[in-house]
Amino acid sequence: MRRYVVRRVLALIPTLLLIYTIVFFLMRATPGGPWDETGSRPVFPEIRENLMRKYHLNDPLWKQYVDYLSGALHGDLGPSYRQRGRTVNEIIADFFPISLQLGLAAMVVAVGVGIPLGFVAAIRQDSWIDRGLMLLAVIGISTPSFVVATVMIVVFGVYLRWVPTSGWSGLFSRQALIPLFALALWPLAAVARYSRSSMLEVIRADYVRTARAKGLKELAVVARHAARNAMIPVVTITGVYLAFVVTGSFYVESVTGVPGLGRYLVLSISARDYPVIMGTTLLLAVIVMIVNLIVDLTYAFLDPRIRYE
Amino acid sequence: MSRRIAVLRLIVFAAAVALVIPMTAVSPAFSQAKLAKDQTLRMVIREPTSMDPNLAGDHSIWYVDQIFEGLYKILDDGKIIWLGAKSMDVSKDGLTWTFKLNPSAKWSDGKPVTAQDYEFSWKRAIDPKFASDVASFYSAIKGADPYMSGKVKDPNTVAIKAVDTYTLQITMAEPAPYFRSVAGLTYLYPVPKHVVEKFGDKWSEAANIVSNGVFTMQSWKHDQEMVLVRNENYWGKKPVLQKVLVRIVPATELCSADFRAFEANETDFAMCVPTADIERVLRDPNLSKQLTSELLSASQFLVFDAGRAPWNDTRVRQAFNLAIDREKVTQVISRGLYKPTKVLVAPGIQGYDSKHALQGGPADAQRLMAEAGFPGGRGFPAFKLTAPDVQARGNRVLAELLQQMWKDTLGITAQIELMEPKAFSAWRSGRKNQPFDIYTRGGWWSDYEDPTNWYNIFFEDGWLNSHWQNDQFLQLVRAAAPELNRAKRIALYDQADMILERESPTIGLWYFTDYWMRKPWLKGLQHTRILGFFWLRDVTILEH
Repeated sequence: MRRYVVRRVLALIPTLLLIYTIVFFLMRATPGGPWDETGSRPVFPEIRENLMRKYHLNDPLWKQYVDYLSGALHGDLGPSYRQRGRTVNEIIADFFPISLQLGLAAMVVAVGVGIPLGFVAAIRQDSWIDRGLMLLAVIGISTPSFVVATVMIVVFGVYLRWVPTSGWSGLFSRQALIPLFALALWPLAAVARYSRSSMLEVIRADYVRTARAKGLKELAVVARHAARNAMIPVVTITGVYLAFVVTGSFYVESVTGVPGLGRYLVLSISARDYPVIMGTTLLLAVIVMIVNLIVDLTYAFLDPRIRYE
Repeated sequence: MSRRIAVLRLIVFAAAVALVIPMTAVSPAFSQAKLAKDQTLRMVIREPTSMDPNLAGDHSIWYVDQIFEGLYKILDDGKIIWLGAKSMDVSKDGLTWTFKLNPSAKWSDGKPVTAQDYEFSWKRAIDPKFASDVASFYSAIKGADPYMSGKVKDPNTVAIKAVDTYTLQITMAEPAPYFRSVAGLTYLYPVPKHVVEKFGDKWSEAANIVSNGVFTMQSWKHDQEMVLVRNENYWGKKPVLQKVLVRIVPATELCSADFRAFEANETDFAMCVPTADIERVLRDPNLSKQLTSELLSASQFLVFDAGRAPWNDTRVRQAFNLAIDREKVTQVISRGLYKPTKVLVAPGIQGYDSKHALQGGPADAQRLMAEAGFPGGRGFPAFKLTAPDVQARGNRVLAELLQQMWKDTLGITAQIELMEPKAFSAWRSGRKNQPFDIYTRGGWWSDYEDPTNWYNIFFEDGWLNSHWQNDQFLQLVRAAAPELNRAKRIALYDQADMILERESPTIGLWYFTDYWMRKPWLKGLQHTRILGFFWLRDVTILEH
């Protein structure tokens, strides 16, 4: 087991290097640079030259490639071009915790509500509860999060005035409810659907019939015997959404005014803020890979037949 | 009953429309109203990229302007309001400018604002290692260009000098009358030398910042919130307003977040109305009273590649110009809140005269096309209309409207090419020696109110890349820029503008306006047509 984890962690290195290389060259290949004006005043050629020199963009490409990489390995992700005087490390330190908190909270809601709903739907298969829940789940999956957020803002912010229309004052404030709900809805619906179908499969298995035959109560059958085995596909899908949600949703963060990393990444791309794009992409890559590892390890815990050598 | 309501609605709507145009007519009832206890202004902005006046070159200047001040300020009436300076003296040859500073001006930490601060700031702004894009505003000063470009290393070669504690003297490379409009801009505001030297890059963060304006920064949580408070150390009349509470929202959502917050009563002032909401605001009896459309010194226009066929034929350019129905365009794009124009430059710029506009209509356009050899559009080569894809500016809709109008009147179809903004910008810079057909970049805002900011930058420096060569025009604008005699200067630009409009290398479409929403209890908020600054120092909040 330990050897497996070490091997997986080591495998992060070539993957990260590959991501670094692809992103590095993609950024440079994209037309338009950090100092091409967008809708404002032209930047004088001499000044552009000064800026290029200041940020070492006149160096040969291989040198830029190596220099940034060595900086990143030493924990320095470089300066932001757009926000003068701020570094990528500061930007990540400011915004990532917010995306992380919000994302984790959304996943807790998604899993905490989604799994029980899915199981209930499965146990009461084809009843009106099942049909109703699955209808809601389909709506949840097919409504984009920014639509949910926008509608909620207009209803609860502009008309009812229960919550401010945008902004952030911590996870435990009324303001966090809209982004939380908008973020949680999609994974919640997906988790509910996966839980239902996987429970339906398990509930017909022989060992569940055995458990029933032993005379166990229905609740005990479901909770003790069926649920654990039904969890594996659910864990997979949760992992996928977890990685997606904690790295910050650009749309939800933009519409609700949450200062998170997702919205920052997109802004930095349109500003061609190379160090910010690179720094945040690498961070997101690490998170996705770690989440995947955790998901794989969870399988072994859920199903003793799965072992990692 | 329904008929009466319909009539009533009509009256309300008409009244609403009529109310949109006049702006700050304060009724006596309001002016006698009592001030609110809490003098806090609430508003929404997007994150400033820097609060350092030596760096702020984009929208950040609006916020820099609240907490810093420069030598003086020119408001829309053209009069100088003296702030950091008491007087300005220009030598007869127009080369030496001497500013006597205001000795009572202080930094918010109590230290005096000195000529040494100005000298330090201005040299810092053009330091090639500092690489600030506001450096271009200093290029008239002797020695600035060689220093800025790194050809000369010694900052003492730049003719910016603190003669004594309260006298600042600069020398120009050549007479630059436009510097009068530049010296008061945010790009030339001073920074506190003692603070910048102590904290370096981090001096403009809330914990360290020291400023000299009517407000100071109390806190700045990046991308969340900024709080400005009254500067109790300010030398002059202190504002009634005690606090400005600024919520920071993402740039992509600025307009809708700003407007929604205003509607939900979370702010007192909004600087934007989403295009989709304008109609509703105009029809709403309350909201329509709170909306004003404030004229900006900014215009939207098209540029031809006048260096090659068929665009090098003046008649073709004129035909394209006359085929456009500007009323319709502004109606669609802004519900009529932008102001249509047939000329390029904005009112207030010397040379501007709406009478210079090309006269004629669609019939003349057709005749001109036929004369140029393309009767009914026959034989006209395929061509592209290129624009950056900026939704907020309505570029896509504009392109489609123009395509339709040219098709209907001239019988030719433009191919529309929209590009991601940065890609467009790179493409446009690449047009220096490369051919194109027609482009629109999404407008030009006067940085300062002087003709050099239009004619000379566009055509003498060739920044538009229009490849338009008209020697008479170029001679006129070259002669006008350094001209010290005001009347003569105006006359030269006037002649140049006449040629420009007749030749139509560019086509003016509309003047931009800011759509501002003010709550009825917000008084004394002024707008400047240069870049839409908001002047907060006279703002008061009435009881409500």
